[in-house]
Amino acid sequence: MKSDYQRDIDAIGKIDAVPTILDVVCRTTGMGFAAVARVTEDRWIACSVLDHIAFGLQPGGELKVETTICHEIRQSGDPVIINNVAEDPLYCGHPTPAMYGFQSYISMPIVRKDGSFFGTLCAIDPKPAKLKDPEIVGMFRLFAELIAAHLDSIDQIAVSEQLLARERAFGAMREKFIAVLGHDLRNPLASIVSGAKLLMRRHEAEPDSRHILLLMQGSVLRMRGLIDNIADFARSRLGGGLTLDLEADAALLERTLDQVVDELRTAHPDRSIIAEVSVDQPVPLDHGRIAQLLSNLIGNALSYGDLDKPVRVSAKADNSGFELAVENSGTPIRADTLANLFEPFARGEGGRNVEGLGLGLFIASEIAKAHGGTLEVTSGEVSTRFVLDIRATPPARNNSSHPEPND
Amino acid sequence: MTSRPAAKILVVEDEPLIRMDLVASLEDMGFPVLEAANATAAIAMLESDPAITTVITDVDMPGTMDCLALTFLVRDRWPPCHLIVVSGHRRPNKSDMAEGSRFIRKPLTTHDLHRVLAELDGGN
Repeated sequence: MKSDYQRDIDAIGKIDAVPTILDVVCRTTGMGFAAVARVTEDRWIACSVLDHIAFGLQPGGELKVETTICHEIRQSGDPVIINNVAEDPLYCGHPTPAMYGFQSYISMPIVRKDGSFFGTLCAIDPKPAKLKDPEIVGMFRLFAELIAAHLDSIDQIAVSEQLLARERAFGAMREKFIAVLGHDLRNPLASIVSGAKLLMRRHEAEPDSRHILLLMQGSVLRMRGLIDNIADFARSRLGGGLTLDLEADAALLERTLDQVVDELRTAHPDRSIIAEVSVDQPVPLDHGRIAQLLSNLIGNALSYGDLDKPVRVSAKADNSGFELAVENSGTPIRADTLANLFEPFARGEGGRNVEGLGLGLFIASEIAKAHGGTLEVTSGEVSTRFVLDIRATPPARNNSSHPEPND
Repeated sequence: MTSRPAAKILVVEDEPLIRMDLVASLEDMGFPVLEAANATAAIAMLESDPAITTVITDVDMPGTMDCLALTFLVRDRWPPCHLIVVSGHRRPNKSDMAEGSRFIRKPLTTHDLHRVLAELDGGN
């Protein structure tokens, strides 16, 4: 029963000004009891109380609503003010003052913005008081409006919080949707790769077919890169981060890097990609991720580098760790672009045929971080160079963490 | 156990183009190959053809039984059969595959297949 209106009692409890209002009311009028009451058709519930006369009500305490004058105020919407019950023509015979033993009474309706009646700000005292006075009435009206405004804003905040929570849940669902979509798109794409391979097997000797199939493979490759990046971005937003499947396998690393370079050469037959791979030692890496990172870096270099100059890839795996560099000639990256280069959706100027989202370098740097490594960029007059550095034993040797560009 | 001359490989893969591609690669390597689109069809083939010595199966497959469950069933009913699990996504936990199963990440290369098949033959 009581819990029906606990929300209202709590709302009034949340308004810091209410105890002060009750105190000011009592001091100004000289009355001994003041309260904010929730008044409905069938309930009168004290929400906040200041009681100097041992009237005996606590917050949550109730009066029989039909025995209160607030009941009448709820119906009329007008305040009731009685200086002295004994001398008041309207109330001298009223049962309520006699029942509760008061002579002075004031009650101001608290009306919400939507016009609904919340309850009253009221005060009583066993002695008469001078209440029918514009200052007193004005003060009560002002306080009642203040309480109503607070209640409105409490509700507004609750609504906003609810909307925000719903929006957050929806946002998370959207990210999840993208992650799942990315995952599901990979299978049909793999089918197309297989189909193109099967056709190539049969028609490799025909120059036209071969040309078309190579172009198809290039498109599929770009699409796979986009899907991987979007799915990983969604996953990183979901807080899962990138999980690695580490393997130390020198032959696999060499094959992985060669395969990425080959794929991009096939997709860009008019461009030159010069690769130098030297794997002396196996380093624990997630080879799928390293392939994705290299593909993103070469894709970036092909988009932003000079068309007639080669993209240079160098990879070195030895006792000290794994270092992978991708370098292109071209206009230097502006300092302000450079500062946000690894942020999601960062886009450079002057790129050609650039994928639409600007996620490639962000994902590449996330892959570097997940490996405990760094991805750094230097951009000068001659070239722009990205270097992935994954140390075998992180803090042991740190003298080459900023490699200078050199051929 | 030595490898038999007529040793057949059974490819279990639901995507037809991927299955055809894999079958073509294996045939190029000189293996007789059978193919099945799901675990139920694979079991029927194993029951009717004792020459199948190796099963290559994709992780994500529709139907009543997934590939990892298939590995346990094959290990139970045809213990000498080699098992190779392929996936383009996550490497399955060792405990999710039957004992002795080998994992290859997609896209499969002829090199990977050669290596794993040679290791399986050498190991048994």
